[in-house]
Amino acid sequence: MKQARVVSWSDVGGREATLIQRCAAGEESACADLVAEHQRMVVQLAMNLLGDRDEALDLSQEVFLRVFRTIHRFRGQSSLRTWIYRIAVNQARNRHRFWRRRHRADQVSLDQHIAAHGEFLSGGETTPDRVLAQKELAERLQQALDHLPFDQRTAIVLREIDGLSYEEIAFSLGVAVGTVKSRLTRARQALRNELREARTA
Amino acid sequence: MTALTCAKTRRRLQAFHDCELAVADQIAVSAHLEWCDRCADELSDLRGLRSALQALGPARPVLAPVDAEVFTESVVSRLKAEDDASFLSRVREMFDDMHLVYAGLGAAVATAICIVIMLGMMRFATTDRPDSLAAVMTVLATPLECESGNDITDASGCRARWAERFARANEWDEQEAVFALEAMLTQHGRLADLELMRATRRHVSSGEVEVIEELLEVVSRSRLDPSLNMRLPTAIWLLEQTTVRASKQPTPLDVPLPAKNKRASADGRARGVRA
Repeated sequence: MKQARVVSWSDVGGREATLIQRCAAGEESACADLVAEHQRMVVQLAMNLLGDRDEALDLSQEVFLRVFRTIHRFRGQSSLRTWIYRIAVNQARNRHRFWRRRHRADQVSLDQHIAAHGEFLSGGETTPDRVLAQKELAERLQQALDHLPFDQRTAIVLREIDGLSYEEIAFSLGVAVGTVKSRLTRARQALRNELREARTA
Repeated sequence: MTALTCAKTRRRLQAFHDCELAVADQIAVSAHLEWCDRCADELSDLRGLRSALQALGPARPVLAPVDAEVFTESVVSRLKAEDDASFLSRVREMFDDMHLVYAGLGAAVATAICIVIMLGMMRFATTDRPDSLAAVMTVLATPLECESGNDITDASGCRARWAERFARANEWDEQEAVFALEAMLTQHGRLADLELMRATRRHVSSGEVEVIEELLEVVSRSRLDPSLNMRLPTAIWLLEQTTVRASKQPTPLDVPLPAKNKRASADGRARGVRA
């Protein structure tokens, strides 16, 4: 007979396991510790995914509330960090859908933006300042990132900025590792094209 | 170990860049990159993209230490407030997604309707017919009290009790026969000829006709010989019923005639007088 899956806390360290148990018991100090430990990561991810600071802070609060509501169901199937990433990605995806429905008309394409404000790297300067060029390049890259499909953007942010492994990304997104690879490939291709265009310009 | 071609290396390049390759593949790709400039440029592109993306972070406003503290406090206070929230607000939150509510209500209503239908069926369902196969089987399967013992003196009592049960099981059949006979009586006002009943056999089964014949025989014998000991309780019931109904049947002369027929009745009376 097939045995039921044994819950293992192998991926979770002893200190983390204790923290989780204290949070599940409703200890305020433990909750504060958990938030303080992971807030920077969550806020940064939310900002990279949503592109708006207020939205990101609001989403981060929702993520932590969701974490505390469901922490009693956490069984150490992944590290706590990856589990929080998963919740954050799900919350961001929901908010992104809502935002896209409400503000579809407010979106401005990159071409429209460039037509209105001009090319970032074009101009009459013969030798632009290196720092300024880097900053403009970053802005352009950020816009390209914002225009990626949500799933591709999440995959590339989790990999390149947050440094998650393929397996952790797959768990966070709830997809197979192969899907993660293909999303990363497409996202990188789009961003590299953008970078090349920016550099040639 | 075989050297990788450029195509194979390109396929593995992103995984190599992400340190997700197996050790053997990692070594093979490294070896290829040492002499292939195009593939090395490709890897350099990937590294440039990573550093550009990582440089995006500081460009964005990061949570300052003070903000981080405020953020933590607000999360904890929201959590506390949520815990202290009344039961009503929790119920209201449950009803946020109305799709689930509709599904739940639909299921509850369907269950209630099913229960009502089931109770109605149980309330109005008729009991088993005593002459049904199930009832006869029950009677036959019921052990008699005298079967296990060797008390011969009580054997006749046992047989009597068994016969009583069997008669009770067949009671329904007799009642139906009596009903058919009663229908013939009310139709013609007297005991009908059995040939007429046989002619209308579509309403009366052959078994019932036989029972009726037996009943009529008992009736006729009882009329000829009142001292006859009738053992069939049904025959007694039939005698009582037919006698009482016959006596209660009003004669046509007792019925008052309507006004418009007065003339015709007067004519009849005149004819009667003349006769």
